[in-house]
Amino acid sequence: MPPVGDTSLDDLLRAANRGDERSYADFLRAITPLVRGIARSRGGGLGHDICEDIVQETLLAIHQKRHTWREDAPVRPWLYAIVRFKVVDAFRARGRRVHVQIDDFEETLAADPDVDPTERSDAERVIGHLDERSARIVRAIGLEGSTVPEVSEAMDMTETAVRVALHRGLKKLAGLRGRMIE
Amino acid sequence: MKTDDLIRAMSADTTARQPVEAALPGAVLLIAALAGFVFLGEMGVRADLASALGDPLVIVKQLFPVVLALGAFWAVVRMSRPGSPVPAAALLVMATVPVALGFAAIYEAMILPQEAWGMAFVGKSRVECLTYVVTMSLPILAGSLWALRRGASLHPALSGALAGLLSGGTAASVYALYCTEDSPFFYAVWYMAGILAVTALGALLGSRLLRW
Repeated sequence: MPPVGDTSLDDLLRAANRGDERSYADFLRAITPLVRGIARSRGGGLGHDICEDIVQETLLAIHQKRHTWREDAPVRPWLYAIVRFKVVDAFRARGRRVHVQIDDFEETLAADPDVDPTERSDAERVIGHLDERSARIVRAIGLEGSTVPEVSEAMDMTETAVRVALHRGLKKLAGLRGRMIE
Repeated sequence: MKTDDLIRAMSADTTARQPVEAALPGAVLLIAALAGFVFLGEMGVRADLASALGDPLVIVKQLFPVVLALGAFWAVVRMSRPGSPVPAAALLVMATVPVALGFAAIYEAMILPQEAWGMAFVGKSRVECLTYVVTMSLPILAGSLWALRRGASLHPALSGALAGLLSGGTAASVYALYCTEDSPFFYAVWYMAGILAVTALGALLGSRLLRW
């Protein structure tokens, strides 16, 4: 976890919402251990792979709704409200009722994965339901670490078209996940 | 797909999205203007509008739906941002409506002979009133929900209800320009019934459409 204090979390998302990819990646990496800590402490016994699916669902929700943060307000109350809502929702979809209080965010230790436990992940299955082009773009950028210009070159699409397809793909991914739980 | 991979994919997606407050006012005003244009173009504004507006009871009839719509707009925009509480002032704005309707009804009771109360309440156009208010609300409600889907309400049904209140209030304020039933016994009941029906529909639709 990068050393990120309170103010810089605000700064990161502010820069991210203006289109800075790097700040956005830093922001997401900084909040992931926190989300993971909440998911694991609430979902005891569910297994780390299922908890990781819930982490991913929550991150996708944050991604879809990142512009609902008001830049003049601190980012944490906004972030905690989303995480609480989505984690409770994700457990409910899996037939479990959990409670997440705002205090939990201060008390729960951030969990780092020793090894990312995502072996059979919902994400992988859901990506199969995207249209072929979006699936290819999500995989290329996510799994293979390609950049948007590289993908646009390889797939003979404009960069804008790649971004639009990626955006739609992630949006669809976020929407499908809630409905596709084993 | 590992979480790190997902993060990489997400951070490459820098497509910006308009916030709710950028989309909602335009959607509501545009659709309300269109619906109002069609409705008033067909039915006409009441002929005595200018002189009627000298009557405080007509002013209440004309304004209470607007106030409801404004309060609902304020609250629903705020609710589309997680972590920001609904402003008490918005609730206060909406709470002035039942108070104003109450005073209008008391005033009416003092100036209207008791034998006429029943007739004022029943009116001549309650079916018309309900039909037009609800019908005009529907496209506005659709537009509001469309705009609100980009928000992140933690209470989708409540946000849907507020969208209904916003739409019903807007439609009723347009309908009031045509309607000549000026007794609060009439409009506090029938206008309100139409608005509340749309509010209930909004809650129902919101609980499905505003989930995320």
